[in-house]
Amino acid sequence: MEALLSDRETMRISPPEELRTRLLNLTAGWQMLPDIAVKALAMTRDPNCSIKEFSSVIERDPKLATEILRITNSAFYAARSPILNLKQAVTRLGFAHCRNVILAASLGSAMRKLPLAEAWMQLVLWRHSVLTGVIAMALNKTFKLGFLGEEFTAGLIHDVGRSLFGVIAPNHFANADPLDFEESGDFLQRERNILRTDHCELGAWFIAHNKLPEALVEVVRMHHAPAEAGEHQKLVATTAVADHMANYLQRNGSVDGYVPEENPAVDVLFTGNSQGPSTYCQLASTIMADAIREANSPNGPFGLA
Amino acid sequence: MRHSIRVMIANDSSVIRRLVTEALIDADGFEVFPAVHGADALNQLATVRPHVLVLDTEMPVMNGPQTVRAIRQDNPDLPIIMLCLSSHASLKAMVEAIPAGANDCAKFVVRMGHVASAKKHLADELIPKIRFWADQSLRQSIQTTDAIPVEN
Repeated sequence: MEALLSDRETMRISPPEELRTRLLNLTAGWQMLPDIAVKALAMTRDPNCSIKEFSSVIERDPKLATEILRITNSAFYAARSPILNLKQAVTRLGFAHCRNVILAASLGSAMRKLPLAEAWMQLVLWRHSVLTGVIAMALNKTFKLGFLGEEFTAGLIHDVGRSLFGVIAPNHFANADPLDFEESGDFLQRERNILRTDHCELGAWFIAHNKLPEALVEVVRMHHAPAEAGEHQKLVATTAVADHMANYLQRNGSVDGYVPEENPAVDVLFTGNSQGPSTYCQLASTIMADAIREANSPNGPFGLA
Repeated sequence: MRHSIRVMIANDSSVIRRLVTEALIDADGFEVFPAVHGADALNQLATVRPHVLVLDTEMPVMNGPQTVRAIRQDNPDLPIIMLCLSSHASLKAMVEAIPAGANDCAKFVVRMGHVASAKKHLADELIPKIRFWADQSLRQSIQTTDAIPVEN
């Protein structure tokens, strides 16, 4: 059996029926995002949508509207003067950034009111997700990768399978995932041994079930094997590179000692770009230092829990 | 019989409030009173009369340094420990809160590990400081209210 697990395709183990059923029973009646957030996210993809229409939808959810104004006014989004209403916020940010803010606000509020052990786990994973998203945004900007906000979303959602494991198998989760952000060796195999699937497969199955875009499903499923990704390989590789950097920051608390040459996803991200890896090695420390500072800035996205 | 140390924890994160509360309750000898931001802490001070206030630097409505300045107008002696949840928060505490009158700073960064290790880390960092300042506060109140000479 172990010999068969040496190939990534063979290793892929769909979530067992028992886990899927438990997850669906636990999540019956709730969605990953509130109705208003789902509608607003769809509107941000409609080229004919007006700012007025979009704002009127957001206003129907006062909690979401408050969160958007709060985040938009934070230093993280570099507001130079106070933004007083939703139309101003949407005008200032543009639809792509609004999509990020809606996702951040909605996912952040979902972790509240859980038992402490579970809430703590979600907080740690939330911070990792935010940090990965912020670094992915910086990579996109620095290397002109051409994404329009989906790289932040991918960073936010890439480890959703770990959060789901904590929900459906709380008694086994600590053994399967020590939350040490040490992702070398056989950590996926450890999850499979204990839970009979891994967080990539469980997360991908769940967000596909929730009808999120195929690009995000591929990111969640393949972010530990970007070389084997398909149509959305650049987004997968961007997330994988950012994930490696975010893991280091969470393990060590600072960028000191980071060795960019050890990031295995860099060669995949810069396929066909011979200068890319060396430029990445020069800029990685700066990108990481900026990202941790931005994420920790007053009222920045780390403050959502 | 030893009395409990009354600690007020002001933090806008429900997870951090609950974590501090459980870490102190587990350690025994503490009563914990939560506040959701600085203004909430100010409103409760007269009724709770904490021995020590543990204050977040970044909060809505009234942040840490603002709260310290407001408290010091009427209450020069209440020990205030800033709980710094990031390097930015540590810097803010050093630059604003300590000069405004905060007594100490404890650092606790949310990074990794499960809740048991987080509670231990927080307890190791915070409890010695709370005990120290509660003790200082108690000595000071004995000196000022009873005017009894302290024997060395």
